[in-house]
Amino acid sequence: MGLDGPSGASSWLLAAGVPAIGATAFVVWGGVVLLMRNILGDPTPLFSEAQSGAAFGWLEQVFIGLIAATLSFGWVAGNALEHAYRAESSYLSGIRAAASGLPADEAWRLERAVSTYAGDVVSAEADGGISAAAGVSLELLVAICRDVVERGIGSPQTRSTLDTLSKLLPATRQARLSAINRYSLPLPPGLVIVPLGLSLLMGATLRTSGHVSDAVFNGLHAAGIAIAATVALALVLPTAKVAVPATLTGLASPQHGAVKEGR
Amino acid sequence: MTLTTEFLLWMAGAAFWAISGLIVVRYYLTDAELAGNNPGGGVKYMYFAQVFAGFAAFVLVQASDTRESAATAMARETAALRALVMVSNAGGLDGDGRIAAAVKHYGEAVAADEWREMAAGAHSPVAERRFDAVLRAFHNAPASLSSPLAAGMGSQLAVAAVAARNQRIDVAAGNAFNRMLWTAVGALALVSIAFNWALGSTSVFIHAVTTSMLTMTTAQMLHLAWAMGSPFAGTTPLSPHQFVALPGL
Repeated sequence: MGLDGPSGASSWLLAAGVPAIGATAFVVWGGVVLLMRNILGDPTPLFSEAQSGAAFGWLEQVFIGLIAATLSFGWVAGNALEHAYRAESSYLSGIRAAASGLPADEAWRLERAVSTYAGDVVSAEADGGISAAAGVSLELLVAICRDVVERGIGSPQTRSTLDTLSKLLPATRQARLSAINRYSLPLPPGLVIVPLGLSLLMGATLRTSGHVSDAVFNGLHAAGIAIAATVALALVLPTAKVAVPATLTGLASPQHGAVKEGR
Repeated sequence: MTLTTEFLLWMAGAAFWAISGLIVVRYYLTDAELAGNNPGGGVKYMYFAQVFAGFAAFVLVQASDTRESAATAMARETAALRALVMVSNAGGLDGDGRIAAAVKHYGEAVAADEWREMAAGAHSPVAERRFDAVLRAFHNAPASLSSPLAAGMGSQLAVAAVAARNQRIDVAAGNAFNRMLWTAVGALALVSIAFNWALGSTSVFIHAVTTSMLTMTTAQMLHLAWAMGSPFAGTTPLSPHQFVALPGL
C-alpha cells in the first residue's frame, strides 16, 4: 500500500525497546543482588522481612498509582492529538475531493496547495513546533478556496464544500497545536518515576531462601518496574511525531487523490 | 478457525508454557527452597501482580476503544453515504443515478476488497478509486435543477463520509505505540508466570494446577484484548454488511 503510516520503523523500535530494557534490568539488578549476597551474606541482621514489607509496600502502591496516572495521561493526550490530526486530514481530504468539481487548472492549483500544506505539517510541525512555512501554506490554501467560492467557479456543491472547509481549517490547525502542547508538562515525569522506581528496587530487596532465588526474584521485579516505567514515560514524552496518521502522510503526496485521476 | 477452536488453542498453549517452565524450575529447586521462597517471594509477586493488572486493564480498555472507534467510523460512513444518496435524489442532483451507482460500487469494493486489506493494516486502492468516483459524481453532478440547500447538505455529508473513511483506515493502520504496548503486556504476563514457577505448594500436582490456572486466565485475558484490539482481523472481525447494504441502482 502507498500509505506509510505510523506503524513504521519507530513502531518496531519502541516495541523492541521494551524486552531489551526488561532483560537488562533483570540481568543488572539480579546480578547486583547476587553479588551483594555473596559478599555480605544474608542481610537478615540489617532489617527483617516484616520491616522491609511494611516500609516498601506503600511505596510500591505509590509507584503503581503513578504509572497508572501516567498511562492514563498519555492515552488522553494521545487521543486528543489523534483526533486533531484526523480532523485536519479529513478536511484536507474533503478539499481534495471537492476539487474534482473544478476546471482542471483550478483543481491542480488546489491539489498542489493541499499537498504543500500537508507536507509542511508532516515535516515541520509534527514535533509540536509552529512552522511559519505551514502557516503560509495554510493561508494560501484558504485563499485559493475563498477565491473559488467568490468567483463562483465550479459546481455549487464544490463551492459549498470549499466554503465550509476553508473556514474550519485554521481552527483545526490550532486544535492540533494545542493538543501537542499538552505534552509540555511542568516537570519532566522521569524526574519522579525514575528515582521512585530505583528506591523501590533498593528498598524492596525482600529475601527468599537461596542466593539464586533471591537474584531471580529481584531481577524479575526490576524487569517489571523497568518495563512499566519505560512504557509510561514513552507515552508522555514528546513523541508526537509518531502519531501522524497514515491518511495525512498520504495527502502530502501530490500523486494521491481524485483530482489527478480526474484530469 | 472458529472462536471456540482459538479459545482452546490459547488455553492449550498457556498450559504447555506453564508446565514446561515448571518442569525446568522444579528440577533445580528443592522442596525446602520452594517453601522458603514463599514468604518473601509472595510479597514481591503481589506487588508485581498489581503492576501487571494495571497494565492489563489499560490494554483492555484501549483494545475496547479501538473496536468501538472502528464500529463508530463504519456506522458514520455508511450513514453519511446513505444520506448523500437520499439528499442527491431529493435535491435533483442525481437524475441519472450516477451518485447512487457510485455509492453502491464503493460499498461492494469495501466489502470485497478493503476488508481483507484492513486486516493487514492497509487499505484498498480499488475502494479508494471508487470512493473518489463517488465524490466526483457528487461534485460534478448537474446542478441546474438542484436547490442550494441540497448542495450544502450534500457537501457536508460528503465531508462526513471522508472523515469517517479516514477514521476507519487510521484505526486499521494502528498507532505507533500499539506494538510497544502489546510487547509490554506480553512481557509482563511472562514475568508474572515466571514468578509462579518458583512460588507455591511443594506438591508438584497442586503447583502445576495453580500455575496452569493462572497462566490460562492470563492467556484468555490477552486473547480477549487481542480479539477486541483487532477489529478487522482474527476470528471475530466486524462485519462489512453495512457497506453491502448501501443503496444503489
